[in-house]
Amino acid sequence: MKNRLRMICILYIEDDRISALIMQKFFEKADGSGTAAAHHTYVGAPLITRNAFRVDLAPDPFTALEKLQSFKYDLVLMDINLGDDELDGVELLHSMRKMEDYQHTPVFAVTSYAMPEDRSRFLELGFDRYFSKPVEQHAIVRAVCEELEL
Amino acid sequence: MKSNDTSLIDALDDPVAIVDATGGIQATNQAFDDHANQLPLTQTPGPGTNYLDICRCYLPKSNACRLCIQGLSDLFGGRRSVYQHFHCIQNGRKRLRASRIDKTDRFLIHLREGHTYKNSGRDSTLAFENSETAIATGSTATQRFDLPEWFTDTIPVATFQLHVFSNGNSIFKRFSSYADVIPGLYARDLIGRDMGRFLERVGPEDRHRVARTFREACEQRKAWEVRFRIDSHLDHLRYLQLRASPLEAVGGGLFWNGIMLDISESRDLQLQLADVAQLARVGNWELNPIGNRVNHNEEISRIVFPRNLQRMETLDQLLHSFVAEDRAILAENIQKLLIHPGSFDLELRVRTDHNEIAIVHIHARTECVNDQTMRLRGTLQDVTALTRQRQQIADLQYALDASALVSATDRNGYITYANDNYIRVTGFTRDELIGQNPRLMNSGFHTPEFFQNLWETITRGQVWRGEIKNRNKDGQIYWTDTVIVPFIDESNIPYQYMVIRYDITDRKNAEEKLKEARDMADEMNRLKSNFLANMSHEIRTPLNGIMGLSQIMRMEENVSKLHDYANLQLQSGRRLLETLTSILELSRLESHQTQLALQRVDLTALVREVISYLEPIARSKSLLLSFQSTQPDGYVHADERLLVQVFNNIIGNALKFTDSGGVDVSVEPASDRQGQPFLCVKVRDTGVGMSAEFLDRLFDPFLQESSGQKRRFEGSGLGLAIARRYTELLGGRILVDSKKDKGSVFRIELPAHD
Repeated sequence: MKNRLRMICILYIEDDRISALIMQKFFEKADGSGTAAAHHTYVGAPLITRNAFRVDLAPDPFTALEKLQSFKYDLVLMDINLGDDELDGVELLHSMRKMEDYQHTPVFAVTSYAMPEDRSRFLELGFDRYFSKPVEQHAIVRAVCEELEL
Repeated sequence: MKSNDTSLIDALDDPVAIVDATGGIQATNQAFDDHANQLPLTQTPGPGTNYLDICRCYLPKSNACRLCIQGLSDLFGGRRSVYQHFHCIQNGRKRLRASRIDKTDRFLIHLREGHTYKNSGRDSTLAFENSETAIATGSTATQRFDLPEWFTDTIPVATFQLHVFSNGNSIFKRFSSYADVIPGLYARDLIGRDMGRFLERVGPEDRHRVARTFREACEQRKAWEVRFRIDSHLDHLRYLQLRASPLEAVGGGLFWNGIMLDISESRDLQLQLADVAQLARVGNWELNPIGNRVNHNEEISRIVFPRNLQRMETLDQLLHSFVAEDRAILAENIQKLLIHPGSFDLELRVRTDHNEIAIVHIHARTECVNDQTMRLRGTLQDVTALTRQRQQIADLQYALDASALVSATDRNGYITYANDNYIRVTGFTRDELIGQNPRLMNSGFHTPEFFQNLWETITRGQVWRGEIKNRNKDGQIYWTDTVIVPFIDESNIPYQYMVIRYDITDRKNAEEKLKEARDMADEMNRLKSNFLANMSHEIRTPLNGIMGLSQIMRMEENVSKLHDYANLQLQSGRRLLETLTSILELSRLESHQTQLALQRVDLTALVREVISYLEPIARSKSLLLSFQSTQPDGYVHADERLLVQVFNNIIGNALKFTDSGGVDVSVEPASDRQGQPFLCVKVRDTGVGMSAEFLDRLFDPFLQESSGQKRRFEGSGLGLAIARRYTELLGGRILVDSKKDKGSVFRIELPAHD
């Protein structure tokens, strides 16, 4: 698996426009080696030698559900406060887990809720990993690689 | 040494005299002498005196006297064989019976106690017969020492004859058949046996004494009298009284004639009476008004003189044993009673010889003959323990009544008793309470199950304890710590409930206040944590932008893109700054450090200016932002900077929460309750609106509807909190009217200024 190169598809559910843009850029410049500096090491090397990431964005829960149904993502990054009265990240996670395709798909919480008790709270609620904003590029990329065993 | 017949009559209890045919006294027994000594006679009766003279002397000069002397003369003259007479003498009534002894010229005069013929009965008649025959046979039996068997066997008295020889040996000659009836004596077996055999029958504790008294009687040749217990193996103990008189026997030694009486019953009664007296600590006494002589039993000595069991003999002694004040009361009552026959009952204090105070119940009544008070008789009972108990109970009741609210109910729960405390707290009168159910005070606070549980507990006979909230007559609430104690009858069913309550209203109020304070502190704490969490969120989101963009820019080779990233970074930085400023402003407001630069401000112009700043936002959301003023130049006295922030925030919010339609702003005159002129800035939007619940907390810091993880609109949530505080600082207020999904109206009112 490790040697099979492929396109990794990630859905990032985030209502903050700037945060969403930043995440897209983080993965655009990363590869499967799990390091943020990978780009420099492999510059000029054949494309085939690199894992590629595609980060799709969903600014609200309904767009997210639509996208999840139309395509099977490898991993989901999820903001918790989605600016919606009906659904927040936690509830969206529970809806996802009821979908056949996403029963075991890794879902990371990426949130500004960063009080000391929040990490354990979100992990208990069913997220596979927890990241508080501000997010470091190498940390999130490495975590994604580890989770997908790249 | 007396003659044979004297020895016989000595064995009799009743006064007996033997006279000759002229009435001359030949012999008397001890009882007769005792009797005669009490009579007001000029000479001592005895051999040489005449019985007829005695009659004349002590019998009242009356028909009875004449009849008595006549009857005796007839007897002595042989005109009648027996003479019986009933006469009244000074110390009681006596029945006289006189008869000829056998065929001699001697006569037996026998006196016997007896108030009426009826009472004298058969027994006394038999006793008469007995004594006559005894004398009759005795007189002729100086050689023959036995009574005829037919006689001794028919009378219900155990008689015996005992011969004691000069060498000390003894032999029982005879027992009358009645002696067989005495259980444990086995009289028939004793005939022909000696004194030693008889002593074996005597109870071991009495044996030595009986033997000793008998020896003494033999030595002194005096009448022998002794009381003893028969060593019966039967359950019931028999006590006998033995009396015998000695005769000089022919050929030496003594010949004893005696009787034995079964005194078990009277002794039992005596013992029982003594037991009862001691148990009840009740003694009896009598007072003879002549000479104020007092007679009393031993129990009174035990009560009054527990140390040395002294006897009192005069009224003065009796009175002296009482404490001074009570002595006077008793003396007065006794004097009254002696004048007006009747009775009294008093409880008085006695000072005992232990120098302790005993409380005695003293009862007295008069005993009269022909309306003449002969004596006082009465009882004296030690009621100290009883009185102390009564006092203790009264003390306890007093202590309870003084501290608690006490009431009692019957078995159905209806009030039968209420003390003053209970009446004071409930506000009802005693008449209003008695017969009512305590439901009268029900506050409606407790559930029916609460009272059902209470009722079930106490009807089971168990004590119930709990706190009850009640309502008094005026409708005021009071709390009581309540204990209900059931009183149970013989069949284990409660017949009464005692209810003891303590007023704990003050404590309950304090508890409630404490709880409120605690709840408020909890709420403040919760708000503070919320505030911190929200602050953290509001700082981290723009910081994520700044730091994330920095990481991207570091890797970006395309320089033209860097410009866009820097712009985004700046936007994030501004948002962060705005949050920080708001937090600082709020904290300054909270600590009252906001500096005011008050001046005359044209409100209409200021609002118009704020709108012009916000115009671009409205345009970008395609919203209509309109302004109109009925007050072309309305002035207020205010800080311009703060006012700009207030309107910026409220009109900005209106735009932020409105997706379609528009926002109307107007300035119009208003007034407060006191009629002071105000200016009102009204901001009406067609936005999302707010729920009533949310409106209540609208101005709390960091609150947006759908708080927590569902916040839809970005922003610190501090804006409205600050706007309201600023407005209030400027002497105004903000009013909000809103309906969910229908839009909101904010009214900012400020005092008008000329």
